[in-house]
Amino acid sequence: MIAFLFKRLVWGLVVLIAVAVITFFLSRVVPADPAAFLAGQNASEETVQRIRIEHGLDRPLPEQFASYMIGLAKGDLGESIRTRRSVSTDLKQYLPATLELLIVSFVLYLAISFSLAVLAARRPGGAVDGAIRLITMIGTGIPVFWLGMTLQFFFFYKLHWLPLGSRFPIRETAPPVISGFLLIDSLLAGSLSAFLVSLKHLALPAATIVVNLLAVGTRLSRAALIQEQSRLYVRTARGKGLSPNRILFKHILRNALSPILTATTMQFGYMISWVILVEVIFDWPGIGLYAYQSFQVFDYSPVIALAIVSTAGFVIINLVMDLLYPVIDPRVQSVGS
Amino acid sequence: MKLRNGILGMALGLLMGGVSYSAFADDASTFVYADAGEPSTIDPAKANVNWEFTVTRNIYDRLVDFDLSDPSKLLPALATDWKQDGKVWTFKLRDGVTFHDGTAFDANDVKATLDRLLKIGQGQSYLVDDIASVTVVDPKTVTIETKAPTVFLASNLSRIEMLSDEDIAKHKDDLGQAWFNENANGTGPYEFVSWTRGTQIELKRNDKWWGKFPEKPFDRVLDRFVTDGANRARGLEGGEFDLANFVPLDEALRIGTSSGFHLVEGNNLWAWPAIYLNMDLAPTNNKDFREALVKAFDYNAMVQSFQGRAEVGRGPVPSWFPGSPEKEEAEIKTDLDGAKAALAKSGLANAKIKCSVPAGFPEFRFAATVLQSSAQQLGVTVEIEEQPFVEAITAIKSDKSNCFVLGNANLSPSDATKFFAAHYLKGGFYNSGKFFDQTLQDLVAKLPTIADPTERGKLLKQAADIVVDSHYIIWTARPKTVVPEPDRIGGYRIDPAEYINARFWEMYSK
Amino acid sequence: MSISTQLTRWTIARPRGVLLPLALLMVVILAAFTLLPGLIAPHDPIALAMADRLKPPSLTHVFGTDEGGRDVFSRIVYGTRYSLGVAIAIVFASALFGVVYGAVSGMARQSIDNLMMRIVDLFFGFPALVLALAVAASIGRGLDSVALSLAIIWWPGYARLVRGEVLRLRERPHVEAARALGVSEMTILRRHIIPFVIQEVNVRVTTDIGYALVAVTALSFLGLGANSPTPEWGLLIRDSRPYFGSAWWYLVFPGTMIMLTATAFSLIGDALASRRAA
Repeated sequence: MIAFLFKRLVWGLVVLIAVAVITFFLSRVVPADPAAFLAGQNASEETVQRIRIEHGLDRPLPEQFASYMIGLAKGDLGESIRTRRSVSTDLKQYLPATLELLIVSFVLYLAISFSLAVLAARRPGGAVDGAIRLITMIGTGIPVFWLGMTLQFFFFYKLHWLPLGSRFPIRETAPPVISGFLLIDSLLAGSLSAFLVSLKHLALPAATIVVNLLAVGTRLSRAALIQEQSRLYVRTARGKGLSPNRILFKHILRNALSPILTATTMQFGYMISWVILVEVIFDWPGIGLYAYQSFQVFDYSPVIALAIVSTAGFVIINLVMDLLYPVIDPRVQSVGS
Repeated sequence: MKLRNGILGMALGLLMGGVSYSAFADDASTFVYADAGEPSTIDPAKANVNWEFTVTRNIYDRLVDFDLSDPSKLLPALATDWKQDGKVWTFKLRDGVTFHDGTAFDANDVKATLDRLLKIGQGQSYLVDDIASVTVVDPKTVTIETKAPTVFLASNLSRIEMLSDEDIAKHKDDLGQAWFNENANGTGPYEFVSWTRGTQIELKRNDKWWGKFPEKPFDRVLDRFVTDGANRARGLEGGEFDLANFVPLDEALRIGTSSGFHLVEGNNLWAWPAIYLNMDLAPTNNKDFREALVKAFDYNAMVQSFQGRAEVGRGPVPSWFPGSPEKEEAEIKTDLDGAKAALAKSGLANAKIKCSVPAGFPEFRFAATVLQSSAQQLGVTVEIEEQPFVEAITAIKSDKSNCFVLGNANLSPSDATKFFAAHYLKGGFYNSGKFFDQTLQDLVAKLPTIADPTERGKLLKQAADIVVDSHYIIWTARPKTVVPEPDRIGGYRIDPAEYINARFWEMYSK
Repeated sequence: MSISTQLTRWTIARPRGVLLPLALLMVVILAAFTLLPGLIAPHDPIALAMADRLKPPSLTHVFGTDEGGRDVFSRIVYGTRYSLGVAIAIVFASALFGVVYGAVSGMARQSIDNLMMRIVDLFFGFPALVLALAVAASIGRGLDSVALSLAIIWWPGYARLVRGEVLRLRERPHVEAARALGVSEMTILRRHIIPFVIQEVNVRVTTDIGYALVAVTALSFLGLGANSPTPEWGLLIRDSRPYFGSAWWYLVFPGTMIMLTATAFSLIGDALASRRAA
């Protein structure tokens, strides 16, 4: 078990380094000049050259690469040219917004897809089943950016129910930053109204992400439900006189969860891409928006950092999944054996 | 254990709710401005784009101000009096002005600010790069010597924000670059409160300001970063924002004419959008070929795309600018036959050109689309690539592209030479197509030294003619700037020498 | 995305009633748009007609017009070959590469197989959009760079699917029997494995076309894909953004087209999957 974990960790590290190397070189092939951005419009060529030297952009590529990798080993993700701060400082600020959005979306995703699956699995092949399938399928076919704009149009512009974007009402004071998660910080500050209003701001961005994923979750839980319904131990449990609800949650949910989680780990890279789009459309101040705006001015470090952070997220989630399987899925005895 | 503490904390927080934190304060006097981007710096020595000026213009003051309705008329600000004597300008400074941190404003601040600005050499320093030295005569008097006599110095100083020499001295290792990037201490109408990255900058009103606020001014200003134009429009219309920067024109007109809004209309853009042709790269290095493109361009389509609220430029200097030669210039019109003749002369039929368009401005993309469609009638193919600004301008400067679309205002209220220097002289930042003409260089250098306005006007016309005759630029249209303002708010005026500005100190609620 | 198709095997319900015929009809329409846009589109998709600028849907312009007075319907018709064409190219290229890679991995020794699958893992964690940003930045914005970057992140799905199938099929009794009779590994692969794998891949390809379409349009929307005046669907949505309050039709129709197309391919993929399972 420990040997297995060690192997996974080493591999994770290899993946991270590979991603750092690839993105570094991809971003440096770009013909544009970040020093020109930093110098600003109307700056003379001498000024641009001075800035190029100040930021080491004049040095040969292998040298830049070496200093970047050495910094990376020390946990230094470089300097953002656009924000003129260290990328680590920026990430600390932007990451909680993205994580909050991802976590809320994920919880919503599990809850909705499981509920839909329960409805659909009642009578497989029935009308409800078919309708749910079609709806979730359409959801997957809707481009995220288009859905986001359309939701904004109806729920903000036409109905005035939900805010246009951002994390908190503009004219109000956000709770003091403790965790960076507004939902938690509002509660820590003792304001239920701030908590609710933060939820309101999460509604459209989260819904946009969830609609796109639902098809997979619903399908998987539905299939698991049908499979489990016919399994022997369910029948036995029924024979023992357990209430149907307990059977549903204790056995079936448990068994359905593992394929959903597996699928989610595989969808992770995809989800991060969608998060960038959603953050851009909803002015959500997370790492997606941060990296996208940096990309707009060829500020490399934040873009590489996003690649590294999301790959690290992927590696960690996979590791956690490997550890969780025996817990979630009773059929798996131990990992690696 | 940690988790339990957290939950306990939350429960405790809920119980004691509202003791220290209240999200929902009275906000009648908060003004929310939706800006088109997040500043990269709020250092006045580096501020360059208008969402950076939004912050610096309101926190800091300048030596002189000018009349928005007549930019050639200068008004007192931190200086109450000024005069030119050849190369030397003398400024008398206002009494009793203090910075937000309480220190007094005097001549040392002016010297420290200008020295620092010129040493850093970024931002708006090009407006005053003809300064040779700054001398403190006494705490209330400062003299500025220029390299050559210039009539425009005071006018250009109306764009230069004054910092505190104490701040500069305190952070002198790097010329205060790190500190001024995200801190601010000015004498201006608004004080810097905080900068929430990715979201907003908060300002509060400086009630000790030397100037005069209107009745019911805004005590708190939130400068929000809303990069998407459609979101700015929608938020303005939905009441989330009180005013927004760069609202797409169709939306601006629709919102401004809907109930609860009115339109503020004015001039401020010199070249919007102007197409720059690369003078060094074939086939646009051929003058006849450029002439063909200029003549083929469908100017009416552009004017129509601005819903008629635009005129077709006749040269680089708009007619409303002090001393503009525009009225004497010949009209520029679509002339397909002339274009075909010019193309035949160039011998470059079926040529292909690449056009780099800075992304984010529908007007720029549309101008390129019109060029594409007009050129097609000549058999010339135009390939468009939309790119981030820096990438697009780099493409044409490094001869990877034949054409570039640009929009610009002249930041100097009455000095056209700064615009010419940046756009048409050797090494000028926006001179992306690398235009060069020695006569023009000499003219632009000579203009500021001439005291007689009529004589200056003549030279300016000569300078403009050189640019027009070279067919370096296609001035696609010169639209009016249109800003929708909610009826609950007043005081917004368009600054003719800025992109699209917001003078928060003139805004008030009704 | 593609995982869903991999698991369709579990859901043995065929799209019923009118859905499948409708989906097939949609594909026929799309094929017509792609092959004969000139016959279907009533107007020129590129030429400007400023007098008709931003006109709402009418009999002459069923989907309204855009900021250049161009007919939105005609632009959508002409855009099909770009949006859908690139999506199909991406999926086919990925499938081809993924099948070869997966088959090699599945037939190879365990150590090589392990290494090959580890490399595949690497791509799963890589955020697609970041890669696309980098590729667009280095080789220029355009549909070709979109196709390249999406293909790079798309093929590993096929590699994994095919390898799994190969491993499963290898253990089948008839394959074991063939091996016992001395049939070479190449022949086994060709006769007993590839034909089955291809069926599985077909299902996946069909569904993936819809998802690839969504991805292509997303990149164009961000300004990484097609360039003006190409009437690519994602670019239409991007261009429509400044006019949303004034011209809803300009945004609504291209988005609806993408949605309908993706759904049609999903439905057909489902039908293929259930036929295989039945």
